[in-house]
Amino acid sequence: MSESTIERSQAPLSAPPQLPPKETRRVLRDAVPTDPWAIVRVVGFVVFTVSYIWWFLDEGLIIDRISVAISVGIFIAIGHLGRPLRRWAWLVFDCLLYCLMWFMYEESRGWADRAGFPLQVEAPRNIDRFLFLGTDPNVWLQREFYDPLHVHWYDKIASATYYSHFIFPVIAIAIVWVVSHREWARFMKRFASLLIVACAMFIVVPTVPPWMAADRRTYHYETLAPLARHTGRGFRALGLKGFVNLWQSALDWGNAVAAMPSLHASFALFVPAFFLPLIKPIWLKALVLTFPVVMLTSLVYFGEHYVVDGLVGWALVGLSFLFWGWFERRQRRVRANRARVALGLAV
Amino acid sequence: MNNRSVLLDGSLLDAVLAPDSPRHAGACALYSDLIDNYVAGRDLLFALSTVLDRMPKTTRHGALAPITTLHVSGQHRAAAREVSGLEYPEDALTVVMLRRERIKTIATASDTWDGWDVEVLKAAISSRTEPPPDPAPPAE
Repeated sequence: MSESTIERSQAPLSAPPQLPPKETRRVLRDAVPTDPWAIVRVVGFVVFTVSYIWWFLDEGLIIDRISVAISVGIFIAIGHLGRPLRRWAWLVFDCLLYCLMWFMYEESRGWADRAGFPLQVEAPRNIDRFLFLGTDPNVWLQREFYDPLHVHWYDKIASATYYSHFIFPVIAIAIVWVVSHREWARFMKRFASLLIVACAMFIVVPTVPPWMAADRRTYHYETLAPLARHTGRGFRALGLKGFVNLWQSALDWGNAVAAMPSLHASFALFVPAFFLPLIKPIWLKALVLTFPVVMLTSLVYFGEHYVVDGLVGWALVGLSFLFWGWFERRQRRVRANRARVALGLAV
Repeated sequence: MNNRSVLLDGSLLDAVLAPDSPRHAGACALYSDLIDNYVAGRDLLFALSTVLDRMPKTTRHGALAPITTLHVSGQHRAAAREVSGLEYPEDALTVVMLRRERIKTIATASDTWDGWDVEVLKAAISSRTEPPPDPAPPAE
């Protein structure tokens, strides 16, 4: 116990507490010298944002994992400029965990090929048919809305929503990382759990996506009426060059039979759900939650996923939030009880 | 995510841990309320590493288990040296950490923060040692 606090804890308190009027109180901002690095960080973020937008418009959306990791790394490094060494040490540790998570994700695609679990071709289609009273939602949406000769406004919205998957969660992770390490840990626990369970499902329940099930030229499953896979068309119509080509090359590395659960649908719900407590107006909450609905509708419209893939993805997000919410509450109760017992307070 | 961050200063923790302090009962009552809020997810509790480091490990993991450490670094100490008008260096450090970590609420057992533009949660004066009031005479 320091001398100063011993002295103060022995001294009688002046009572009752009469606080001085607000205008005469000392303000923290005036009392504490400004952190010179704060200005450097702000300038760094502005330069980064301008460069990122320029790159996006000129070269296309950064999408392959290595380039994304580099851009996120630069963003986070800017956020840590002038921070204490301990924060940098945490950052290195966090980065290692983050890389390990994505490495496991990439590796799981190879494991899925080697494990040899039976491909699910008809089961997801049958579930969708059951849910929609005998109709195939993919086929119905394309029949009603898809026009091979014209790109409609909804094609552009659906395509932009689809591709937002590649930057939306990453931006959220980077911002949370810079703003609060504690919140980042909360975010990543939920995110990593979701990814791990999804990877396990990719291995155990390898599921053929609708576009593949409908394909007549290469795969010959033919369990659905023919579907167009027109995912990038709307995005190209928006004048965003370079993006689709990069995505197509990324697709080649991917596990094509990893439809269940849909990570597109999961992430589209995950990010808004995490930030939902910060949003006060109910109408805005409802508006934010339309994003995952638009995403799932787009996925079904493009023939990328069945509806059930998205529903399972949402269920996993819900389970991840429920589990970690319960675990964190339990941790708080345990710590509180320890404190109460130690101090002889009523438990 | 919407929780209030509360910094528990050295005077409060010392009063909580010293049963013979005249402020012990009030400090414990305040700490107990803060713990209730912590369990309910309303408050996050913080204390400076300089304060927690002088506590025994068993206390840190027992009585102070709900509290998260705010690590004080060299740059915080340097900034604290430039803060004027505070009697103790630890208070200057507290001011710096409140500002840098954007904490707007402080829980204390002293009068130090009365003149500051922060939300002050102050331990009530103990009435434990005072004799109980005389019972009112029965009504006739």
